[in-house]
Amino acid sequence: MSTLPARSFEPEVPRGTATIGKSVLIKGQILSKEDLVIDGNVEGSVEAQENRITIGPNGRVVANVKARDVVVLGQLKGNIEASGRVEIRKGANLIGDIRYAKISIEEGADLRGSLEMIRVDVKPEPPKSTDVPAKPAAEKPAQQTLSAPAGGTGSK
Amino acid sequence: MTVMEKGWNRLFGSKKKPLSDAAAMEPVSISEKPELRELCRQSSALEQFFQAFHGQAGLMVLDLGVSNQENTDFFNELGHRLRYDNFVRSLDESFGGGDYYANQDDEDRIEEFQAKVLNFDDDSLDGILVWDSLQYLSPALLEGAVSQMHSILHKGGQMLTVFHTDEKRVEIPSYSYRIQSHNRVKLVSRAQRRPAQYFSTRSLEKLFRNFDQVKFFLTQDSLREVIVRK
Repeated sequence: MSTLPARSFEPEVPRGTATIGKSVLIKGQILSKEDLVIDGNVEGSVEAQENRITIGPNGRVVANVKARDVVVLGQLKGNIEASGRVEIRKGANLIGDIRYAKISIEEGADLRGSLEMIRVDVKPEPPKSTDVPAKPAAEKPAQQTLSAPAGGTGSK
Repeated sequence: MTVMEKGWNRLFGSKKKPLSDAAAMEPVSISEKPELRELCRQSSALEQFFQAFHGQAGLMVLDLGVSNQENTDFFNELGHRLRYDNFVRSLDESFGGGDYYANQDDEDRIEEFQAKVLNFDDDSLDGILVWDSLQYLSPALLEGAVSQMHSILHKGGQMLTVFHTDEKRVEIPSYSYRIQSHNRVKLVSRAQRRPAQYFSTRSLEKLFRNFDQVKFFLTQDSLREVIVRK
């Protein structure tokens, strides 16, 4: 038998991500312009329109959640609206309605509520114009960049 | 024994337990973390259920089973809305601890249960996937639940229910039902549970007497699928 202490799950927190720790209780409105991990208690509303909200395994959230992507590992009582992807992971307990563009539900997740897919209209590509002069090679080095609209579904 | 029965027995076992008074008094036993076993088969009831959906979109269907990716994707592709309400889990939460079926006579617990499940406006649903959950309701609670299901369904709406046919078994397997296509379903075993009662064709006809139509489909895996239409 191992004498090592049991490892508790700590959600990976990448740089540029705000975290609400497991001993924190927040009541009110949360607006975030960066990714947010909630591993504590939140009551109210949570919004991160262009970012990801993760409810960690210790998270207890009673709030409506609006974000680009939402990942649930803990408990959520409230509705989710995600322009991108919703992930309901194993062990999650969710009571509320979900609107999403994409969804994944893991085995062992408990979900009670309605699911509604947001139909994303694909914008037709603008016609290629020959009027726009090509930029000089010096201004634009040999490098290709891809751009996506803010709050888009690039991470799907 | 048919090839399918052999396959089924190999996967799920065919052990039958003798019925005894002592066993009948035991609370519901739920095997702890049962090994995930599954079987995919054709379902005539499911085919019938989806026939009524032909050419329509945006319908609202209530799934009383465990939420899963397969059913979600299937309804997404059809363009319908799906709502999950884990009925058996709500039953366990409200009536667990002590004698499961005796607890189902407790008015406070019944009130708590009714506040949690089947809370919809009358005539608001186009279909209900009840699966096998009615088998774990005591007779009094069962009548009320079926009556409520009748109320919340649209006129012409359908319910798909499943009942075990082997009356000698004290415990029956409880499944998670995963829709594979309009006429195929995957059954994933979750637990062994003691049913509240055995349902014969006659008792089911009586139970669903307020519905306009009741259709039975016997399967080779000791299950009776029932489609009822309001």
